[in-house]
Amino acid sequence: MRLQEAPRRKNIISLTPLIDIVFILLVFFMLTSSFNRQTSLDLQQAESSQATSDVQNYRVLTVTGEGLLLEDKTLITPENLDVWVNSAIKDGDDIMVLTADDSAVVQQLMVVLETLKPVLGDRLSLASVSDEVEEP
Amino acid sequence: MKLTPPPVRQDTEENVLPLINIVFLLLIFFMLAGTIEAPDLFPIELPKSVQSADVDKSPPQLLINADGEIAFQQDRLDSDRLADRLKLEFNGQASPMLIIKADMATPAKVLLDVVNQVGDIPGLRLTLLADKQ
Repeated sequence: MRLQEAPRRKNIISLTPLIDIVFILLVFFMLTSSFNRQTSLDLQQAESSQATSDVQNYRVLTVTGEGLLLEDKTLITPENLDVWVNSAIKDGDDIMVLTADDSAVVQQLMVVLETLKPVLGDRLSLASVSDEVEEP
Repeated sequence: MKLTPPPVRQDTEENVLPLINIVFLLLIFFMLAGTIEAPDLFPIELPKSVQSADVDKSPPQLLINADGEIAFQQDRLDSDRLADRLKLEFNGQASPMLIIKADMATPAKVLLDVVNQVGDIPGLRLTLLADKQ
């Protein structure tokens, strides 16, 4: 007996619109997604120029385009910053007031901040040039 | 003359199935691994940092671009109006927090001026945003 071949089941749902939608979603997520991992750094400003000038032991550090300029005009380059921080200021109790000159940009300030902050903690303050404290 | 028969045309939907699988996988990857953010008022390339700290992006953000232009809550601000605008924003808040999103090429003096200006707001915690290297 010859059996009839079973009729082939036809797809009820067409895949083409589904593919269109999925492609559109894919393009949307590819264009809008961001994969940058971000971090943050707490900033602490000098409370006020008056309050800062009441503190006797403080040192003004100036971030420049080339590195960190000390009060005695010594320049600490970014490569030597770690060594200088751990040898010169780690164990002191001086308040460090960080300012910047015209040549410094935020990236250079960031490098200095993330080197000094873990060592100095609350002893590090930020001040703009107009607030720069004067020698006692 | 014997002619070769034309090649049998395969079912196109069967050929498309692996493509759909791959596209679905890509879609799921981008949906899960990426984060969608609203575009900023002006393009900002964040400074690079080697530190890793959790970032809470819910507090309001202050934008400073490479030219020193300042924006807060999608409004461009003059630096003179900044302190008043922020005082208005944080008025009555117990522990206000502000995220500063500054371009890596912004003059550091501009950032320090901003930090100095908002220093009058009592208890304000400032955070500088960076890209992790």
